[in-house]
Amino acid sequence: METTHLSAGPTRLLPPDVSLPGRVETATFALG
Amino acid sequence: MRTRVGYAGGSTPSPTYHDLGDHSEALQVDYDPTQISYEQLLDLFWGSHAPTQPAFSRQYRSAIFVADKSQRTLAEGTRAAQSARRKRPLYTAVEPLGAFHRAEDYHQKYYLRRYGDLMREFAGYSDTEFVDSRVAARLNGCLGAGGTPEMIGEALTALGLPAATSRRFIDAAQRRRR
Repeated sequence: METTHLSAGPTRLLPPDVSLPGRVETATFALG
Repeated sequence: MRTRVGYAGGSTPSPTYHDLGDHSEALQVDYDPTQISYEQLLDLFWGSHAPTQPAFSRQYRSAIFVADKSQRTLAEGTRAAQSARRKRPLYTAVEPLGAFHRAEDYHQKYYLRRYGDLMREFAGYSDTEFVDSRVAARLNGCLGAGGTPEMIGEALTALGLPAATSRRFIDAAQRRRR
């Protein structure tokens, strides 16, 4: 399967959107 | 919502894809419980795998890794309900979370990585920022579910992306589909 890796250079998108507003909880599953 | 894939449920210190040890492949979701509940995520989980089928291997078993007592109560409750409804024993385990080891970057956002035009929008993100990106998670979910460009547009608008940016994503997804 061909996949693409991140490339260097200026982002075209918004600044990295990694923060979650509000409360954050975490769920973890293994789906087989 | 943020998502990541990784390895959990074992004791091997530094698992990798080619040397999982006693871990299993797992999906982790960070979510706002005022937007979606753990019960709703459990419903999605039970509808997304075959709990009455024995695991092919420990790497590919099904499990709910609970982070606290509240999650355990809800997970075991839905497990009992599923077993009663299906009238069969279930192979899905409910276990304490323990350590979660993030999988290698090339496994993250698997569906999105097939779309070179879309990936270029994330140029400048670090690998960690890309994995934790809410937009990347939403796009990956839409693409994995066979979502249409219209679905992608709606999802990105809901995340607050400017219309011009959403338009580029939609155009890129349409180019890839042709």
